[in-house]
Amino acid sequence: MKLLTGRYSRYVLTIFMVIMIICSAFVQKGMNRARTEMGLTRLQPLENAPPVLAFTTVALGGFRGLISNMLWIRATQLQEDGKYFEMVQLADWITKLQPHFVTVWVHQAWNLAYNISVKFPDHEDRWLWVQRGIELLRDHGLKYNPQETLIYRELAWFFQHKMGANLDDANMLYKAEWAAAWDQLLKEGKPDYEVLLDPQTPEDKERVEVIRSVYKMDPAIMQEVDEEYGPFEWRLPESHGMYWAYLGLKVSEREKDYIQLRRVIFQGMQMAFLRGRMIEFPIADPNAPGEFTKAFEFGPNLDITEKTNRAYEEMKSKDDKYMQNISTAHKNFLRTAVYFLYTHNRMKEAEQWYDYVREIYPDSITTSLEEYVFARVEEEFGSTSQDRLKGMLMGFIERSLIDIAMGQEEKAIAGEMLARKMRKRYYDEINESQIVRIKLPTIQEMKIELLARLLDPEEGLNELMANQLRTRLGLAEDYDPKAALGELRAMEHLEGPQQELQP
Amino acid sequence: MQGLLAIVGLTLKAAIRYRVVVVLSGLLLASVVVLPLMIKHDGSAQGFTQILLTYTLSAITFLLGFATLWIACGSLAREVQECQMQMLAVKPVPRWKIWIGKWIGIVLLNAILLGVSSIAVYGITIWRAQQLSEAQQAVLDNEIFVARGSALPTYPDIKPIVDEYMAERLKENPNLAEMDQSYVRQQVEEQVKAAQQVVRPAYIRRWTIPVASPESIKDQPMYLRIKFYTGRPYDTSTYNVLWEIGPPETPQRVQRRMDIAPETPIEFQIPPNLLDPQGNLVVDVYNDNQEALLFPLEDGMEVLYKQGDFGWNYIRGMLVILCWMGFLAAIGLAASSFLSFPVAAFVSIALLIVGFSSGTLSQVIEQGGIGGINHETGRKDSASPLDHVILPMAKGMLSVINLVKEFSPVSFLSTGRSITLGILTQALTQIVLLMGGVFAAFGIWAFYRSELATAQGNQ
Repeated sequence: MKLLTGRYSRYVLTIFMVIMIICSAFVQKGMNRARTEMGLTRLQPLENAPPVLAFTTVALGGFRGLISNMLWIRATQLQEDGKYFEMVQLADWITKLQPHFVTVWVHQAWNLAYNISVKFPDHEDRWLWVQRGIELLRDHGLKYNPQETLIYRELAWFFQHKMGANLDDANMLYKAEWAAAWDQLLKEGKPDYEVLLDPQTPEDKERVEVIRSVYKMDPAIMQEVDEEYGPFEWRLPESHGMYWAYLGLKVSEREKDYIQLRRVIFQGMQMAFLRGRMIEFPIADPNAPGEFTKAFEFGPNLDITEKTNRAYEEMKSKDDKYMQNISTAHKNFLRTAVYFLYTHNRMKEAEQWYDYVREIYPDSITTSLEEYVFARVEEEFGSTSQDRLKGMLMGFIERSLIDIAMGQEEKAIAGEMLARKMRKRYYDEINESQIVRIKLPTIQEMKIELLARLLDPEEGLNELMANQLRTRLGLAEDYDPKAALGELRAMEHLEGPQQELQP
Repeated sequence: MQGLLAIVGLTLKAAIRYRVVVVLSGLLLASVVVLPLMIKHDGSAQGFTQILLTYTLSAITFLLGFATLWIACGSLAREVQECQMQMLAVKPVPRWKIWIGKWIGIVLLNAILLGVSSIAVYGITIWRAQQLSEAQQAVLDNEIFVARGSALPTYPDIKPIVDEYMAERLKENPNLAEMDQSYVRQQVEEQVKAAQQVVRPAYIRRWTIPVASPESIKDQPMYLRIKFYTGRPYDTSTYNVLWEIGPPETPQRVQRRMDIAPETPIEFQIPPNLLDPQGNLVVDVYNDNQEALLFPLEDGMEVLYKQGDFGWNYIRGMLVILCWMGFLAAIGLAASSFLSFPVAAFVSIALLIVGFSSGTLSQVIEQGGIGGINHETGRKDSASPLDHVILPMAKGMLSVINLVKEFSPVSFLSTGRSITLGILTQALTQIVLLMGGVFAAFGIWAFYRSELATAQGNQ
């Protein structure tokens, strides 16, 4: 004890201190390695951080974790109590205290976009939270971690799954809001890259600035995505999912996580093929009687069949673990592609892909092209009893008439043609004695019946759509659909059951 | 009285002389002006107003609280240490008057600072709200800038029902008598409660909630705040529920179908004038799901309705905060009555930390002891000898802490809930008169006992 208090104490303590510092040097390396492996700390400098954040993260040192825990506990407690108004601020603080902890970003963003959003019955409230989740990753997470694969993956997933899929009851509102926002930036969702890459007018410059500063997207990368996988409809969230996954693959460092981004891309391609086209149509504006507003529905984007196929092929070659599953998905995609192309009157391409799928998956389609399509229709719409078939044909014709009203002529023709073929096939299968008993109306008769309903101002299409339908069908100005239906009914009544051999 | 007022005046002068007022005013101004510029919110007008009120008022409470403790500890202990108190104590002023005068001086200082800063917060909040669209202003007026009362359903007393069931069960199955009776009773209680709170799939349950006289809230929108659970823990799905609200078989009855999420309170507006002539709100819940929905008796169903104006509610909220400041001043003065400044400050802050750790105390009580928790049940299987000491202590401490902590003026103001005169009176009684009184009595006693002449000045 005297050593520690006597005149030599300071020398003893200095020597002890030096020994301890030397000893600590031996364990320091191991500790640093463990910290890196466990993601507890970052040895790299914080990039893009404002001075306050850079200072805070350094000055607080190890206490950052403690403060972050306290904030996390508060956030959990408030969430349990249903008090969400602080959540964005708390998430911001928590992530800023641990800016390189990727799972913290991912968890907080997920919490905002998924867990909290669904707590609101009002869909518009939900949209606010989904936006906050996206912003946390896109505007902040990527700013400080521009090479983190998982953040790109998560961001892409929000677009593809939260907004793009239909698991959330509010998904149509998300899509509508997103489409409305991008409708302002890109005409009909199709980028004019010459303008976007070199804007000349103030309006164009402003639009490009919004794309860059608000949505943090680069038109040059958008062009690359379109060239590589598109063309895409950029008003759809799936296209943005593709963008972020593509950018992640391009800039992120962690190769072992690339596979996750590749999966997002091929799933995105699949989605874009199935419903990657927006079809606009007018609907009556409930807030302004007599006015119309834009509504939309989705159709398949058949222009990317080739590129979607390539994405599957690429995925098959790079994901050994799930190659079998991807092959099955690929086969199903090709079968669907054949069906869609046929039903959209793109016969040549349908035949081409029909040959292709039979070549690489011989067991995929074993019948003729037409038989396959009919079987697929039956599979989708159930059995072809007379009543159900009539309902199905009416459905095809009605859809075809609506497509005409919406300007989707090619699809309309394909729909009507399919209905005609289905009807003919039905007549080919029944024997003559059954014809009178289980006859089907002609396509023209069905059209008259449907027009009476669709052109009814009370129950049918809105005025604008109805006028478009009349014009595109070339109906006479004085054509009265109800009178036409009345005449048809009267004829049926007068003539009684007729033999019908010419569908 | 003159002596008391003189002490009050001296305390205020000292605060101004030490520039406490200047520094505090600067900090308060910064919190009121700078915070709104830095806050991130969900993007809605309500969200922003709520977070603005919460953060600015919390910052003001924290700053004033910290300063109150500092001034309270300093004004007595430092004066004793610097031999100023000795000059005062020889005057014909009893020591209790010195003590109380200092307390009133500190509370008065707090009242002035709190008054100014809360007026600034109120002004900024209202001014910002006026910049919003009319629709958003209407939402704020109905949900936040309002004092909303709360009405809960009345449930029959379950005790006699449970007694009856228990007797029946024991008669049916005598083996139950050999089991843990508290456990059996708890199970029976849950069954009885379930009958009042569960809506089975494809079933309807009716709640009748006594709200207020229909005339008193005529044409005022009401809010239904609900919370439910399903059999699935951490359930993140949504459930389709049909609500039918209003007097049955009358034209004003309304229907609303909603997809709602479990395990969290959900608040939604319902049209005005849905009360029956007796002032009851009838709510029918149709469960259109495969899962049973459980609306807890405590907070499963609540009606919020307009009870008063925001302005008066805000003033009452500020007065509750002032009660807290009075309590903190009493703690600081009591500690500095017999301790030196640094020790008094340390003791006061330690007491506050114990106060803030009420969550830990509640956890200890809930788990039935410290350590060795069974993770299946969330409780200790058997209490250790230490637990027999700790548990009563924790319960006692918690009930004392709750006397002060059970009021949440900031939370009430940010969610548009009414802070009634009853609540204010209760706060004044519990926080200032009872708890503050205990510390004041101790502080005055200690101050009388302290031998001021022995205090060694540091000069």
